[in-house]
Amino acid sequence: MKVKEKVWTYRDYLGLNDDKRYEVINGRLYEMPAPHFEHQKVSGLIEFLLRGFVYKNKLGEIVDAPFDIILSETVVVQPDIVFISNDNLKNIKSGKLFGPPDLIVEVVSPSSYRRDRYEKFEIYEKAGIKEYWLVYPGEKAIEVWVLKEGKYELYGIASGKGKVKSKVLKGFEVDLKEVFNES
Amino acid sequence: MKVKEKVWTYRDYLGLNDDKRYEVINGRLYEMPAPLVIHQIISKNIFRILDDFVNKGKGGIVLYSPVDIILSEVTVVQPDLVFISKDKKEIIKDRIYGPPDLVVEIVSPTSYYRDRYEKFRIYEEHKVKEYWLVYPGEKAIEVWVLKEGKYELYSIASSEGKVKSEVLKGLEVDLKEVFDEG
Repeated sequence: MKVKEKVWTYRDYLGLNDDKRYEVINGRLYEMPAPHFEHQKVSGLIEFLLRGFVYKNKLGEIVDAPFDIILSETVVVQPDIVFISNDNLKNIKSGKLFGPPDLIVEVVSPSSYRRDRYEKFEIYEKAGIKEYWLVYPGEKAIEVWVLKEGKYELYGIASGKGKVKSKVLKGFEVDLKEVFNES
Repeated sequence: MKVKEKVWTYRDYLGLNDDKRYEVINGRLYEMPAPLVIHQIISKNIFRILDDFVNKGKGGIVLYSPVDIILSEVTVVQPDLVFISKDKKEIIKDRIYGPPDLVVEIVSPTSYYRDRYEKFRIYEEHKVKEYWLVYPGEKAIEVWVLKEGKYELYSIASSEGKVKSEVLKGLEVDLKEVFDEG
């Protein structure tokens, strides 16, 4: 949901104190409605798998929304799940991440479809986020986009069944049946 | 579902007689499982909207799947819905030989990659002027329109709102009417 017409900055965002969740994308303020059950379930399962892998291999941290990532003066996002490698943990200041994480997962919902698939896609590409997972619970699909020479390329995709793997987290793969309902 | 490794042609396709539905995309044969009810409800809703609009307006024909569209010797598709304008009615024979003006695909878990990426490229190459991608799970519709040989996102809505067509000028579709299961 887009709210209020003006160019919003990180500073304006910090000044908001109405207990709602927002993102700022290229100066536009978006309210984030509370996610639905299915979204949370799928997001939780992916996070569980990621955290297991990242902790076992001592690669860094996995955090979930709501967690502020400040990518520029006019871009503040709260992705569903982020992986921050050990090298990038130094960019966490005052409990927020200033700069790109190593991997982002967004679980798409009807209210966020366009933002996740197109707006944030461009934002993450520009910000140099090496890997972007787009998860579609409705179509039981996962796309893994990997940065190649500054542009995202589709590195892996599966829908209905099958597996996708990560490039950034070498050796990490997700079987769709671990994440989506059988039906 | 991709089946059997060889380069399939239109002629091979016609030779299949096992009563299953198939598509041939760049020489690859895909079996088409029967769609789910929700897919068919959405297809019916969009058909009604398109058909009403076309009948009231400039004319042409709206058809729903299964109809064979032969785009080349190695590509035969059965889109969910197609619109063929009056100007192009010569492509309609026993099957359709050439690109329709507008194609609608309703995405399902079994067809996600094919619809979103493979057919996207196929329709772009074969100059289908407008391509609608409908995502029932995310309640989203994307309208892609050919601009200098490449698809550009012309209209998009999810959850609520309307999308509009360029090929069918004046047509606006309210998502409520499309995703209404009533």
